[in-house]
Amino acid sequence: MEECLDAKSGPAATAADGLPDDVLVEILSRIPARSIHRFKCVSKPWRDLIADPLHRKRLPQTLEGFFCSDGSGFDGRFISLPGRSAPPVDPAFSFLTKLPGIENIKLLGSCNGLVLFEHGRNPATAPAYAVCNPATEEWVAVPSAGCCSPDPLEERTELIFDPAVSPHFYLVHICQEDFMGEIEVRAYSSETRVWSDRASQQSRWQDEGGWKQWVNGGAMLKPLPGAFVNGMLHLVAFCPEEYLIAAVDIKGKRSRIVPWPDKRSFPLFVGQSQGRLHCVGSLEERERNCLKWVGLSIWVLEDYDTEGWVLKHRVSFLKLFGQMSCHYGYDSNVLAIHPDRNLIFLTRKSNKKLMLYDMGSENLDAFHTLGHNYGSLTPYIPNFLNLVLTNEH
Amino acid sequence: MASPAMVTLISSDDARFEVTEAAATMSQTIRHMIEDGCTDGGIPLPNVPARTLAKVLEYCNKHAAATAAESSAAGGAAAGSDSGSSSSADSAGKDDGVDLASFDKAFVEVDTDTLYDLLLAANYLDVKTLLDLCCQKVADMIRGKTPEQIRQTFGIKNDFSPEEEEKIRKENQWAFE
Repeated sequence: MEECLDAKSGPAATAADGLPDDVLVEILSRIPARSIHRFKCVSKPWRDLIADPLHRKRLPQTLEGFFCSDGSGFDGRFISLPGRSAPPVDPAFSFLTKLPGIENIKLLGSCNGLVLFEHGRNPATAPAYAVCNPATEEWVAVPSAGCCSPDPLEERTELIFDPAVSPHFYLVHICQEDFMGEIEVRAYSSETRVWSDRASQQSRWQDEGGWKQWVNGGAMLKPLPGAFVNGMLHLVAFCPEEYLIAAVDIKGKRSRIVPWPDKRSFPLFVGQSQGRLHCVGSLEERERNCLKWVGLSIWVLEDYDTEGWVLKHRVSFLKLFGQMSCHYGYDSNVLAIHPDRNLIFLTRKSNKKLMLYDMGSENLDAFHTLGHNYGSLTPYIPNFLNLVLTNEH
Repeated sequence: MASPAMVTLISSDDARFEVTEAAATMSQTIRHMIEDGCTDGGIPLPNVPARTLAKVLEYCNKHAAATAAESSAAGGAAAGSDSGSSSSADSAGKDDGVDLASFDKAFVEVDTDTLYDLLLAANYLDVKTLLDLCCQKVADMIRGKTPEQIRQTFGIKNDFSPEEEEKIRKENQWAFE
């Protein structure tokens, strides 16, 4: 930090003219990772302050890579993004998986540093959950949602956590038993430590326009992970004749319907990047039965309140895979969108490649080859802060 | 009810401020000085000028009063007072919450220099909620800015050579797109 002493700022050797470094870190901890990386160019003291390992853990983190599960269960591998070194945490989660009573563990998802597992699933019992922070090795047990038929058409549990808004996390359990049947949504809060009562939520939804349409039957949930933006969980559903995005707030108090931006495109993905809802669809353009263009269209919801979707990017399968064929719509899968950058991640089934596509430079990088038996890939953003996850006994 | 305990604070430019102990001890620094018995003839705060101290005390007075109103409202309800008075105390408490949030919002609507002074004073005096408020305000101000705008805001000299700046900019190109 000797550069500071030469600066005009006088006796206090700090990055910002007399402001203690600790205060500056406190300010920087409240701004997005993207801004922090930009501010490395301010001056040498700023660059060093941001790079300091002690400070770095207090600053917002960004996507490091993906936890990888094979088809049969959790196998504790981590795939780092290009240019990143070793995984930031123990990918085997040995602090959790070695505990007695934790069996049949399966990684379900992650959100802003927390990771959700289910365990103990068998034909007779619904699974219980464990939510943990692999960076601090804290974890907490969550009871089973306990409300499901043995063989639902679609069932999933989503983890929601936003440390900027609340120190508590939420789980949302969504279950649809029959084709076009009723969709049951229940929420768990780490604050109250109970699952919400189904009946009370149901009556509230019946009062609200958008939800009534699909929650009470007549819609089908698409098996895509939900996206958490603006305090709402967004899910893609198919209602008679059209796709739509159904959003519910984590406490089940508010709900809304957002239209799918392009009626012609087939939904592949919804996610959050740079604070905004993004969606990716596959699109075919034909002229007199002849395929003219096929590829991905990426949309961003620029204005959440007025439902102002903007087409952010289009990329053809010709560009991505070297051939213009609808086949690639089935062969490829949109895995994730980078939370701070204009990058999307794709997997390809036929050659097991994990690829990233840069919407700015239009570069494609197949940076990893997956094993034969790969199952799910879960994006991970570390959070080094103590989140006070505790088990009450 | 006995009149509240008062303490005298002395700014760096020798202005004296008489405040309740409840307001003054929102500052952990002052709380420790009072606990150590260093209050005779007033508590000197050599790092805080009168202009800033007055502003900080405006914040502390408001928040200490709100805390007192809240605890007396809670106390009244707990003591089992009749339903009429307890509901009025409840609503008073609720109003304070809304009131306090809008007070906080207006409180940091100040020019950059004043905000900077408040930030330094809140840090030195160790008033956690005021420090959080000011940090959040500065964070909201700077999040979308360019490095050059940051240098102007904080009065920082760019000590990179053009080559160095070009290199680090390239490494973080994505953050500029």
